[in-house]
Amino acid sequence: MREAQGNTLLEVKNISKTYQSRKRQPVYALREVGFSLQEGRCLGVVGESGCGKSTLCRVIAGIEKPDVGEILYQGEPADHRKIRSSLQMVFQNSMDAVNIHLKAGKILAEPLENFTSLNRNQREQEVERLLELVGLSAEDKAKYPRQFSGGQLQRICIARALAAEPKLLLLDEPLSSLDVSVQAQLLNLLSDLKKELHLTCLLVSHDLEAVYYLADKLLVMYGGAAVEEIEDIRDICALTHPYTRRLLEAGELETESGEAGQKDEGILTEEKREYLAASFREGCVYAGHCPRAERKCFLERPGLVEREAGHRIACHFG
Amino acid sequence: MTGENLLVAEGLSVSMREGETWIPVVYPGDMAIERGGCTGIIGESGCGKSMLCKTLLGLHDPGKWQVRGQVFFDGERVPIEADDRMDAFRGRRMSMILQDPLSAFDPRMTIGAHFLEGCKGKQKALRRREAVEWLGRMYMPEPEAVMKRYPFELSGGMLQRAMIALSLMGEPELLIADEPTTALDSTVQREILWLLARLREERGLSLLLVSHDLKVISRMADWIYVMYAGRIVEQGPVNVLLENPIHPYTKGLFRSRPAYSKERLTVMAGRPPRIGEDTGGGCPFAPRCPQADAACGEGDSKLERADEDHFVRCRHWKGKAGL
Repeated sequence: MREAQGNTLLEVKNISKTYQSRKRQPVYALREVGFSLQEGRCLGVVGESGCGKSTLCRVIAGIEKPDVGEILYQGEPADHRKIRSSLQMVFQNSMDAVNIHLKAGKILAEPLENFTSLNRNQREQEVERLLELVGLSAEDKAKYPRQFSGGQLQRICIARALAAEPKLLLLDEPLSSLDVSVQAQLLNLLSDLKKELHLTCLLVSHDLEAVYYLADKLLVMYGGAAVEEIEDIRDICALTHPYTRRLLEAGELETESGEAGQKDEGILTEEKREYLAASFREGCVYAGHCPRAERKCFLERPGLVEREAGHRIACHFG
Repeated sequence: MTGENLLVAEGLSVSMREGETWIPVVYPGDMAIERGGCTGIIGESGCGKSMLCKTLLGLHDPGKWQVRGQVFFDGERVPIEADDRMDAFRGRRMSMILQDPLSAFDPRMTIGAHFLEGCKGKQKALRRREAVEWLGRMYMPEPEAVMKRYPFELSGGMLQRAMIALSLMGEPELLIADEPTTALDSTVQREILWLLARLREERGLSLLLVSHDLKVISRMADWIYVMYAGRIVEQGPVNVLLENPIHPYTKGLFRSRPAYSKERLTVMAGRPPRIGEDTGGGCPFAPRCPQADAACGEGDSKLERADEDHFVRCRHWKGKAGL
């Protein structure tokens, strides 16, 4: 692999997570997902809603327990009670992620109380330092969440995550509900913080361009499974999985081609549903939508295999 | 504009009531939508895009909102102030689709029931057939089955298609799409945009597309209005605007997107003024503008013609256009 590798900070080994739907049908949120993340690097995870990228985040953060598989943190099985302070998360909707009855100062002081031994005065100073770190002013600590704009509040959430001096930052769609200009501000902020604090990040997003800007490596997910992975995101054009191609092409609108309109899964007849369910259990996760799918794709799940150095793909034709 | 205008708005402004005073939300501006064309409005949240759309359909409660100006549809004056007389326009000549398809449908009614609302007896069967036909035209797989489903059973993309079908039932000439793809995944977003483009080609439907996503607007629209703080700050044909944006806000907006590059983004500092926030009477963008000088603080600038059909609201457009 091209880039010099630091120590592996996080290793996710074949984790699976299944939920039960009300009709007692299993919903496969994660299927044997695995990757490793080196210190100081940023992994981008992309895929459409429901592909399991948020579940992946929650499992790594210890909010959910995986059914199978294991998470190694610094080479040891992750004990979330111990690593809580070194692993922090930033969520999509900042308004839901903070207590709206607390002032910003208090929101930022909470992790300091929990994870550090600073006294009251030192905490006060630390809160001011954190606010300035994320581009807000020290006076903002007296404001309530409602007095901030969406972008400012997301900065508060980032500052709160940084208060515990984490090594690993999990960013779950941190930019999705924001305006383009605010997104740009936050993208720059995150990229600065990553360099300054030598942070390791996991960025979950459906915005490929934003992921490209921030991440070093890329993991593409579909139907709960990792379908493609690349060590150096700058090789994004070399990605070949049919789903990844479709994702890349989604940026380009072609009004001439007739196929684009008919790809939605639609309402399924019972027969089709069973067939697809079978393929979901045993076959390739993307088989039902893949233009190249053949019989084999529905019956046998391709594993994520290394195709060339730093590029792994799960496709029979890959 | 080259073609014939389907809708023309003159001096249209909207103010919001707060106690005894009226707070301007959309400042007086003119707007035109070409027949068979796609007109785009772009701007950050709170800049008045959605307000403008609602005004065109006369959806504002006169007790809370004050609307000034005139709207002409196909040469005919639209009674935007009179709710009861708007029925001839709403849904029949122009209709609207919204951002979040799940909240636009009544969760207790099937998709079919939405189509049949207000129908009685024999009309119903006819209407049902029509609805199925329309759903089919939206490339909806198995439209009969969809009619029996509840909104939560459909995916976002399918709901958005149902909403488009519903809004096109009255065969309107103009479809106002307010952030139609913002709540959708990028692959589904592409399908919906493809569908809208196709409707425009096949049925000659005119579109007013509102979005904060530059990518969507630049691919779809042939005429762009850029809005900032309730004002139209720049307008012109899409290729002119994309190649030669003049207003510093438009430039900033265009530069804010990372286009598959790792180069540092040039960002616009600060945020747009809130509704009702005092901008000191000067250009509302001045505090964020890299080119602003003392003159910008004195009085709002006017929309000036920069080129044949390229208008810009910036007093420095001439002197500093090359920057």
